[in-house]
Amino acid sequence: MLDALVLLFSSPGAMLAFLAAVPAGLMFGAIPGLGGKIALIAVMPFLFGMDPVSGAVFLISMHAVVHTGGAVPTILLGIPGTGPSTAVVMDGHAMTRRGEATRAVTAASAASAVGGVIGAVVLGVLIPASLWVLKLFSYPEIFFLALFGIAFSALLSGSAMVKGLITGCIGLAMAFVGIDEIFGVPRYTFGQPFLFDGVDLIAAVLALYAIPEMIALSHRKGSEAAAAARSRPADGRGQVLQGLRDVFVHRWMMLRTSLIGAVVGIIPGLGGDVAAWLCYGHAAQTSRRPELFGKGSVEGIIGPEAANNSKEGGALVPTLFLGLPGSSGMAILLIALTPLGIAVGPDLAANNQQIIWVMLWALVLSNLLAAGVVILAARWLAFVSRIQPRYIVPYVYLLSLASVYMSTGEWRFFLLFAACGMLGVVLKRQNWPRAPFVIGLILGQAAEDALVKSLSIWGPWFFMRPGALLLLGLMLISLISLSRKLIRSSQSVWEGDHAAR
Amino acid sequence: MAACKTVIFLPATLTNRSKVFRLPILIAVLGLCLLAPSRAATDEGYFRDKTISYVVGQAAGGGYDRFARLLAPHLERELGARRVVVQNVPAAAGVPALNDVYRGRPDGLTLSTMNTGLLLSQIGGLDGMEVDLAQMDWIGKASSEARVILVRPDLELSVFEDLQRAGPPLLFASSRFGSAAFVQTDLLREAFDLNLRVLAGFGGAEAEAALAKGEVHGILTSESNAPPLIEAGHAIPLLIFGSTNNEALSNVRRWTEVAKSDDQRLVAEQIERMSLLGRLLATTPATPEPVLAELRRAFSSVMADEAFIAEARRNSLDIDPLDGAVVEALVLDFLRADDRFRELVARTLEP
Repeated sequence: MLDALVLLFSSPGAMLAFLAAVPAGLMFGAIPGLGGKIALIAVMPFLFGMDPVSGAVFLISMHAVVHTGGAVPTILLGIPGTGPSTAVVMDGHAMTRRGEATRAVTAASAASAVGGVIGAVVLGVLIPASLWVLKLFSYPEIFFLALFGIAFSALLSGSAMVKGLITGCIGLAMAFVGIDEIFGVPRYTFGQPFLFDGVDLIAAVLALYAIPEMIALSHRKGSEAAAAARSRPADGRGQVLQGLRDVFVHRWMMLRTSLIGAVVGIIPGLGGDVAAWLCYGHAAQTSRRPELFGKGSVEGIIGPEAANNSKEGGALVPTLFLGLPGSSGMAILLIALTPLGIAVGPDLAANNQQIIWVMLWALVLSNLLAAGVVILAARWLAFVSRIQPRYIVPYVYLLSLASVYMSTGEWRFFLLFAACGMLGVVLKRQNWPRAPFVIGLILGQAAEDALVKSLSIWGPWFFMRPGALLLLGLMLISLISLSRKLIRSSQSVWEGDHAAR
Repeated sequence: MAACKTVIFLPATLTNRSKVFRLPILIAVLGLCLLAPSRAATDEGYFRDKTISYVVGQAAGGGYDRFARLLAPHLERELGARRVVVQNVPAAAGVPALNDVYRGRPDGLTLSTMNTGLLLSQIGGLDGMEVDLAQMDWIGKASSEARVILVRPDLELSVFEDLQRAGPPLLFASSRFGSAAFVQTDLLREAFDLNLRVLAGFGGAEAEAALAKGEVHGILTSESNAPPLIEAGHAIPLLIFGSTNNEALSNVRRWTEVAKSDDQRLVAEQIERMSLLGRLLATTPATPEPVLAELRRAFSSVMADEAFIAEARRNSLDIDPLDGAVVEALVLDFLRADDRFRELVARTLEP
C-alpha cells in the first residue's frame, strides 16, 4: 500500500501526470456542460505511449476533481458546471448573492476533498466484496432511491410546496419524452426524431439556470453581489476560515453523505445526479434549519459536494474489479485504461495490486490538491461575481450554446434550449422553484426504468427484497420527520410574525 | 487471417433464395474493384484542403466513436484533406443524423458510421427512418463480431438443446427496444421456440452486469464481451453465430449444428451475416463515382496499414475490413431478405 505511494512520488512521469491532471480536471469541471466524460475523451489521444502508472494516475486524478471545479461556476454564476452541481446551485448562488461567495466555494471544495477521500477509503475496503455489494442493490432499490429524491423535491420547496410539486410534475412529464426503451412506445415526440432519445439533460438544465440568471444579471445596475460583497467585513481570509469551520461543524452530515455517495456510485445506472440530490435531501432532513434550504444554506452545499466526489471512489469498485462500468463516465474510463495495458476485471486485484493502490492514492491526493488549489484561489475567484455583467453575460451564453452542441451534436437541441430557457425565466420571475423540475427530469427517467425492470424481473412483490423494504421504511420515516420539522419551523416563523405585529 | 474469414463466408452463407443474385453481385464487385484504381487516379486531389465531416450516430466514447477518432487522422492523410472532423450525433441511435447525411449534398464530404442494427430497423419499417440504406454509397466496413448466447452457470444448461427445453420462461436482457441485440434475441426466441422473455432497456454493460449479478438468466452478446464473464464464472456460452479467433469461445457450438427448420436457419444466417458488417462507413447517395472510388481507396489503404492495425489493437478494436463494393453487395443482399424474415422482424418491432 505504501509502496504504491512511494512509486507515485518517485516516478517523475507519474508526478508530472498528476500535476497536469488536477488543473485539467478542474478546468473541464468549471466550464459548464463539459464535465468528466468530455474530459476523458479529450485526453485519450494523448495517452498513447504513456506508461501504465502515469496514464492511470492522469486519468483517475483528472476525473476525480471535475466536480470540485464544477462547484465554482455553480456558486459564483448560478450556472451548474456539471450535472450533479445542479443540487448546489440554489444554496451556492444564494450565498454569492449574499456576498458569501468565498465561504461557499471554500466549504464546497473542502467537502469535495473529504468526500473524495472517503470514496477512496470505500474503494479500498470494498475490493473483496464488490460483487456482494452490487447484488445488494438492484432495480427495486434504485427505484426507491429515485422515489426518495422525487419525494424530497416537493418538501424542499419550503413554503412554496405546491409550486414545487407543480414544477416537479412538469419535470417528470418531460422525463417521459422520447421512445420508451423497454416497449418502444413513442411519447410526446411529435414525430421529431431528435426527441426519440428524450430531453437532453445538459440542454435543459443549462437553459433552465443559465438563461434566467444571465437575464437577471444583465438587468442589474452593477452587480448586486459586488455591492453585497463590498459591504461585508468578513471578506477574504475570514470567509475562507468560515467555510472550513462550516465543514467541521457539519462533519457528521458530511460523513454520512460521503458514504451515501460512495454507495450510489457502486450501483450501476444511478450516477452523480442521483447521489447529489439524495444527499441534498438527506442534508435537509437532518438539518436543524431545513427551512433555509434553497435560500443559501451552507449544508445544502456541503452534502451534495461531498457526495459528488465520494461517488467516484464507489463507481470505481465495479469498474475496476468486475469490469462493469456503473456509468457512462466509468465506461469511458475503462476504455481509456485499455491501451495503457491495464486489463480491468476480476483478475486485476490478483495480478496487479500495485496499480490499484497507485490509483487509490491518486484519487486521495488529487482530491486534496484540487481542494487546496480552489480554496487558495477562492478569494480571487470570488471576483468573478463582481465582474460587470456586460463583460460576462455574452460569454456565458456562448459557452452554454457551445456546451449544448458539444453534448448533442444536433442544432435542433437549441430549440429545446430556448424552450427550457423561457420556462426558466418564467419560473424565476414568478418565484417558482426550479430545482424540483430538474429532480423530476433526472430522477423520473431513473425511477421509471427501475420500476419497469423490477416488475419484469421480480414481479409485483419486488419491494419485498430486504434492501427495498429498508429503503421504503427509511423514506417514509424521513419524509414524516422532515414534514414535521418544516411545519414546526413555518409555524414558529408565523407566530414570530404575529407577535411582532 | 481475420480478412480471410470474411471472404470465405460470402459464398458459403448465401442462401438458396439469394443464389439468383450471387453471379451479378460478384460480377459487379469484381468490376468495381477493377475500375476503382483508374477512377481514383482521375480524381486525385479532390479532397485536398477540404474539410470532411465524419458523423457518428453514437455518444462520444463508444466503440463507433473510438473507431472514428482512430480512423480520422489516417483518412485525413490518405485523402490529403485539411481535416476529418468527428461529430457525435447520438440522438435516437443516430437515425436523425443518418437522415441528414442521406438528404445531404452528394459531394463525399460527409461520411457516416452507423449501428448495424439500422439494417434491421429498415427491414422492420421502424418509424422515423427516412433513409433507404440500399441507396447509400458504401465506403467499407472495418470489423466483424460474432454473437454468442451466454447463460448463468447455475441453470445447469450445458447445451443449446437444454435451453430449448428450459422452463419456466427464462429472462434474457438486451439493450433498448428495436436495437440489434433486442431484435436478434427475440428472433431467436421465435425461430427456435425458446421459452424466453426478452427484457429490453439494458444499455451499455448493464446486461452483462445483470447476468453477473444473477438477475437475468442469459444474454445474446458480442464475442468481445463474453470472455471476461466466462473466465469469472458468471456465464457459460451455448451457441455462437459467426466465426471467431477468441480462444475462450473456440469450443462453442456453431448455430449450424442446431438449426433444423427453415425459420431457424434463416434467422441464424441473418444474425451471422450481420455480425460481418461491423463499423460500416457510408456517404450520401449519388456521390460521383470518382469521388466514391477515392474514398474507398483511402479507406482500404488505411485498413491495410500495419501502423493503423497495431494502433487499433492497442485500443481493443480488431480490424476485419471489406471494401465498399463488397459491403454494398452484402448490404443489398441483406436488405433483400425474403418476406418471411421481414415478417419476423416486423413482429419483433411491434411496440
